[in-house]
Amino acid sequence: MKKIFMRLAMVFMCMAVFIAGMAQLPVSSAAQQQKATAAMATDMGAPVVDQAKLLSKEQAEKLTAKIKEIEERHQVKIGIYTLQNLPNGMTAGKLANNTLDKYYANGRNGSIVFLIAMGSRDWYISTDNTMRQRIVDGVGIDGLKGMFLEDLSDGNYAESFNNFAAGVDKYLTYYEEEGEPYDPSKEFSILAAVVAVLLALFIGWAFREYLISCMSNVAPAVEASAYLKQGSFTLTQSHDNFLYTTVVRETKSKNNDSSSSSSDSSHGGGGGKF
Amino acid sequence: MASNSVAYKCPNCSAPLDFKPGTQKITCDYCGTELDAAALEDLFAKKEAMAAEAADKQDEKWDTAVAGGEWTAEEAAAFKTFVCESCGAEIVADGNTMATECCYCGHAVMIPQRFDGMLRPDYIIPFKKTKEEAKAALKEFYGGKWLLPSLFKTQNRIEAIQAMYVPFWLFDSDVDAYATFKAEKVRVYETSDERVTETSHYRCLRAGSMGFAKIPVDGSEKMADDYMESIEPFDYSEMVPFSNAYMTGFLADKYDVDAETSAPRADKRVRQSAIDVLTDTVEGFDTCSCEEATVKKQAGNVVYAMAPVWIVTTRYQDKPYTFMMNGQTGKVVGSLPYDQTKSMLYAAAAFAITLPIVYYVAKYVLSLC
Repeated sequence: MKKIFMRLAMVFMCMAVFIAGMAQLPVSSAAQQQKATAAMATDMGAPVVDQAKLLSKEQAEKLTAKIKEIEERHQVKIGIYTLQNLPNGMTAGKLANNTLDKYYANGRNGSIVFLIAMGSRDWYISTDNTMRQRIVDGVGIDGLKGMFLEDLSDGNYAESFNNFAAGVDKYLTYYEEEGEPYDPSKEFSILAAVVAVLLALFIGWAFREYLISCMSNVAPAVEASAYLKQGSFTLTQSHDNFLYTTVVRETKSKNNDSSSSSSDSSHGGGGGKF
Repeated sequence: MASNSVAYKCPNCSAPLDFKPGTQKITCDYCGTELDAAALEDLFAKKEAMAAEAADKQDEKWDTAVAGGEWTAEEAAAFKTFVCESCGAEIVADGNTMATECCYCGHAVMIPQRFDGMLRPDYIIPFKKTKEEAKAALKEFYGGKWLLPSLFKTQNRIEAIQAMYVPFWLFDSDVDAYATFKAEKVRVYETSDERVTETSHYRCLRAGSMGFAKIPVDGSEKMADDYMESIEPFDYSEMVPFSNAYMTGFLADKYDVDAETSAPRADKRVRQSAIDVLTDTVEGFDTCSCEEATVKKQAGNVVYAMAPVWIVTTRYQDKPYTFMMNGQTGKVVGSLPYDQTKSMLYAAAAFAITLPIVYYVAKYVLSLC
């Protein structure tokens, strides 16, 4: 009887230990999650939130310092936010707009958020209405895109983000100096100038050759079709022999830079794939 | 001494007669008498025979004289003297001159010896375009030429434009032609991932026969071949059997390049046209190119004809620039000098005007890339 009592006591003790262990585990996991969320919430609103771990610590620090300096100089809020995957059902534009409203709103001269989703390879720039006057939708966003997209596609993330920050700085400085948003299409293009000079030289030369050719209309006759007797031609043989077929296949180029926009009455910007 | 040339004179008043382009008649400017070409030819036939005979006799004398004189044999062959029937002056002309103008009295002079036997043309295409029309055409040709040197305009010799009958060989040719062609049919279609180009290659054989009539090749060494080919075509429906009467008042040379020497140029043009005709029968293909061709002449015929040309040559900076007009159809050809400075200025202007336009176009295109 004593032996049975001892065995029952051991079973109860084991069950108590197991239940206590089981109870302890959820408490610890929830605490950890709470801690991570708190940390993320603390990071959000910082100039660089690199959840996708694209930057080294040193790169992130340098970029943060640069953005802070730009923010202070222009009295704006700038956020670069990278993450691995977009939440279910959420587009990059929508998430960027939400992030701007929640963590980067109320920059005196406007706010801008640059979002990167690595899983779907989406990028999106969201601006509030004040920033939208300085960096306009369409040409403004396209001009910024031209500064960072190539590096982003090549995996040079630090370079790409630095170029984005420099681009924002350039646009804001131009607006402050000129009182109108910067339009990259008005910028002098050296490449276009070189192409234009070469083409214009060719046109000038071709025009001169044309004028010189007008000075003479003397040309030897190479054929005598004008003297062919009407109705004299008789076709006596006509055979078409098939030889072979060649096939050339060209892969269609796929444009990954499909632009998208989640602009609404309080947000501007634009995005695409990289 | 019997005259070795003939000046056509009006049987009514003895004034010199000239053929009027476009009229088919010879009209006396002084008494208004109109004569048909055939009637005039009959009228002066005997005189021409005598003149030719006199010229033959003089040829012998001339040859003998130059053998021991200061003329070389080549010079003697190249130049001969004729006596103008109107004023009796001695005219020196080269060995090919058939008709010319007396430099002393201005009368038209025919040299019948050059029409004899094998040298007599079979046909002649009479002038239709007058000197005034030729001068107007020349002025129009100069107009609108932006690079024409100003000095050339002032130096041009519009008044010196001359009417001339140029000797032509007219070749008839029946040919058999055979050719093989490389031809392709191209089909392009797209799938969701690819653009596919299918090219089917064929070899096409074609053979046929055809005839060409009166392909002109000039028989004058002095006339540039490319100029003579440029003033083609002539309207052969207005070609008439040769009569000396049509040549009165015009310059004319007999041929100095014979038919045999001229034939290869006609053959070359026939060959190209025969290939072109066969090429036109290769239908239903996207590309076609001739691989090899054989053109064989089955029958050939040639006649000697005189064709009307208005001509003037102006020298500018030691280079000759010739203008010609087809005396029948009025088709104009010529080459003119150009001013280097003007040409560079126009090129610079084109560069300056197009540069900004091209810049913005290039910038736009580059922005799309």
